[in-house]
Amino acid sequence: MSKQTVAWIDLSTKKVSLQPPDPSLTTAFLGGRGLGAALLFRHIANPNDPFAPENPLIFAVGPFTGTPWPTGARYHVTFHSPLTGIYGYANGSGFFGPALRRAGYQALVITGRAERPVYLEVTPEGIAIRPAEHLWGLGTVATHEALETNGARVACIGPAGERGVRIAAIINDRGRAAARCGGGAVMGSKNLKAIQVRGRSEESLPFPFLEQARRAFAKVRDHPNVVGLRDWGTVVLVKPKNRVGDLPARNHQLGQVPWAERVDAQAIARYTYQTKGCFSCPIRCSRLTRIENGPYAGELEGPEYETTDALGPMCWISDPEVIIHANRMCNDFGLDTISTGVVIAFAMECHERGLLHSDDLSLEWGDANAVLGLIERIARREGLGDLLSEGIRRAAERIGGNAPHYAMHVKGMELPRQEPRIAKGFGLGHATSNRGADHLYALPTIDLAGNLEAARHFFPAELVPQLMETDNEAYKPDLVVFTEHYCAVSDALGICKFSTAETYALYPEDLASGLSALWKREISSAELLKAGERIVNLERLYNVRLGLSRADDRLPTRFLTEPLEIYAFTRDEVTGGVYTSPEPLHVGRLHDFEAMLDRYYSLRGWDKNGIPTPETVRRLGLEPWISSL
Amino acid sequence: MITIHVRYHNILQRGAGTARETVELPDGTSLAEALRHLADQHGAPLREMLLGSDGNIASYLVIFRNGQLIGQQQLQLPLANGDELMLFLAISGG
Repeated sequence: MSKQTVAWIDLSTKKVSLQPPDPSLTTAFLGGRGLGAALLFRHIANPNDPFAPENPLIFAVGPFTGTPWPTGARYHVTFHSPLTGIYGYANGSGFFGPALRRAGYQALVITGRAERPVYLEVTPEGIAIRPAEHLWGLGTVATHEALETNGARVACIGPAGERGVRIAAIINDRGRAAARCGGGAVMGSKNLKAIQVRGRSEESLPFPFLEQARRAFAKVRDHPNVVGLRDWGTVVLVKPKNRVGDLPARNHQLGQVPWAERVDAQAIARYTYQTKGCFSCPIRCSRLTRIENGPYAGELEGPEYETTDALGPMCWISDPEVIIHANRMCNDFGLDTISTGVVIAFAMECHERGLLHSDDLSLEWGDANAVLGLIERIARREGLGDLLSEGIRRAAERIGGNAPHYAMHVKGMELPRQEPRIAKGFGLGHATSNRGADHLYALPTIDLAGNLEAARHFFPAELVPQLMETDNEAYKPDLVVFTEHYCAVSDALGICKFSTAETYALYPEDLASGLSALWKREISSAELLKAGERIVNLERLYNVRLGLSRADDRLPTRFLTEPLEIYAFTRDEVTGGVYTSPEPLHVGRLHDFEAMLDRYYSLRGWDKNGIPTPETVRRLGLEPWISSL
Repeated sequence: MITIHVRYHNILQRGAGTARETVELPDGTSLAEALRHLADQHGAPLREMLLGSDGNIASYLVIFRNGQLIGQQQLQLPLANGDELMLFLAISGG
């Protein structure tokens, strides 16, 4: 069980109190995302105002964070989202989370609002609230430069979070982000610029756990499914996704671009000067990129696949230097790159349809000045940027007309970079996710990755053939239910899904063995997955309490009404030209989304309206939690 | 000569224009040679899916031989009469 402390920090009264962790919460919800969900469920004070000072902002680590367990690098931030108005969280990697654990903390629960800008100095000796007026207004890189002293690790916001931009991220370790749901804006609303952590590694871990961790580390390091991520980073996905039509372009009007090689892994590799791994990571998928000269000269971590598509093909940008620079701008302003790219692509389509114009930006597809100009205006809430800084749903409502049809979001959160008419498990997962559209809530990769071994291991043999057909919707709900649990466990333990639900280098059995050794009591993989199910259900109940139901588990209408033609591209070996096949290779469409939703609810033990039944609540031990419903 | 059975999955099925086929190959044909043979036989677009721009077997191709996952280092091993290959083009999350 966790030996770390939970720190309650009230920025209004400047009071800090330390409490031992609640063993009942750790048993039921493990840590990280599970602990954050439980604490937010209990302590949300004003769901009508996400910026209300009394609402908590919770930083939590998992039991594997900061240990030698492979990829034990992640921290979780939970809050009531200003972007969606519902349950919200963001998850980040790097070295900040491990430092928090090594400083002796399981969670920081931050409430109140400081009178003036402050930052937190977190050490094993305690937590101090320090003035940050000298940091206010700085970008995240300069903030890191100011606070990364004496080995400190830093998480901070940039100008976007300070201004309450609803797609603002929290940036840590200079180039990593806890990006989604607008957590940066919540941090800004509390006048909290940064958290500076200095950890010490004095914790003594059980020898059997260290042995398990060592074996698991080797298993991840040597697994064939991590090779592409290690060799090329996540941008390795650009080329195969473009082949199958899962590289969204022009705001999902297209699923491919004929110029993918300009922005694929090889293209980004030309700017890569170093590969990088997070704490205790054998995969090392991150890239440090540098542009030597010209208007976009500079260097930073990234871009990842999601960012590359959002700021590239989605906006019809084919210049890798523009994408790299746009990523760097978002990072320094403290913006979520997925939401930023998607809201800009939305603005470009609204312009194409005659619904929107700007006096000083063209808003034409592929215009680098428009993309870069809008990033700055969003972060500073200037001009058209002020509208887009509210997030895509609010912007579409204000533009009016048919604009909501072009707004790619679920529950108010901008869609990540999968194409639901091709990657159908992802489509369902985006719709059902309790934090809004999210590729990491379910991460249902088994069919797309051809991971027959995982399919055989986790599903009945009679389901496997249809489950492995990407276009077959019959058992996508089964896939999503399982992977939602596995992802919740991964987030709760504080590890990266690139070791679990993305690659299946580790199975739940591996995690259960590790946790059993760490906590010195037997925990089965079934118990672990049930904890994942409990977390998903508590998150659902949080939203049910706010009035959400089946009507909110919706995909944007484009995916339900417009078929997507996928073509084959052939390169002429003599001329180097790329030719598009005269006929589509495939037409992507969702055949029966409602049937997928019905089966998903049925498998979950939820009613037709997407509400957990009393029996499900009882089975998961969540009865004490629903007295407030 | 050996006979092998090939099952194409998902987009590869559309690239090949068939879900499965049986092909005859000379004794001693390696897996890599068999895949090149299929690429040559079908031409575009299957060729573009099986082979990378450098002409090597595409790194995102997932191959099962008689139900067992095949690693890149096993591509040069010779196939046996009656072998079944299952081919997937792998993409994943983000």
